[in-house]
Amino acid sequence: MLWVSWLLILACYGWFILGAMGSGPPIGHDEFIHARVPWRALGFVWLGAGLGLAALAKRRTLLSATSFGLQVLLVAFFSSYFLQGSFLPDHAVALEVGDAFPSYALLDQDEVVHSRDSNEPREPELYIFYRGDW
Amino acid sequence: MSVDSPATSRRLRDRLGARFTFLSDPGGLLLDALNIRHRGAKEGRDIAFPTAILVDRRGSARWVYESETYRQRAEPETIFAAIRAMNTP
Repeated sequence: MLWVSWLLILACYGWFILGAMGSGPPIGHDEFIHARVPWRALGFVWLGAGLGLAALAKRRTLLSATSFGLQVLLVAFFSSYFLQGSFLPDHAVALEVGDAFPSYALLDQDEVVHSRDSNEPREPELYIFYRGDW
Repeated sequence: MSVDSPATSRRLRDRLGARFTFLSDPGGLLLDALNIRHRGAKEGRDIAFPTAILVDRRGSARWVYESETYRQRAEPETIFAAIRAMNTP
């Protein structure tokens, strides 16, 4: 039971690491990139931790206790990564198709000012707002 | 576009080898104009809700993408389709 619990947790971590690197096999890739919350993967790690707990209840040894403690840490990290930021507060972009993009004057990475006047014609642009480096 | 400083954006650009422009909006002025400020979301700091906007030559929005989570992003195919739709008379 102990090794099955580890197999489940480590398989999910493998999926997580390969998916995060963007170089893994496409197994579950859609879920990694598109799913709001990858419940299937979370279910597997939680099942793994449950089996780890069952193994501890069956054999109360130092090895089982250490193993379960480690599993709890791994599952907690895995869960917090996928659940945190997966439930954004309700919001709506205050810009609809056809509306004028707001004017701005901001610095770029080389501290050069870029500005936009709502009425100024120029080449089309794609703006991507992201959470910043982390 | 992020709330990162230019120095942070420069490091990110160099790390990624990206050739597009990284604009800094540390005060979140544009985030407020677009109502995409996510208060206290990153270690207590305000950041942007993940959003993508395609703007045409006249300065009008032609495509607006809002993500449901920080992990989701607009797929390149979706973005290219929006650009093709914009360029189709």
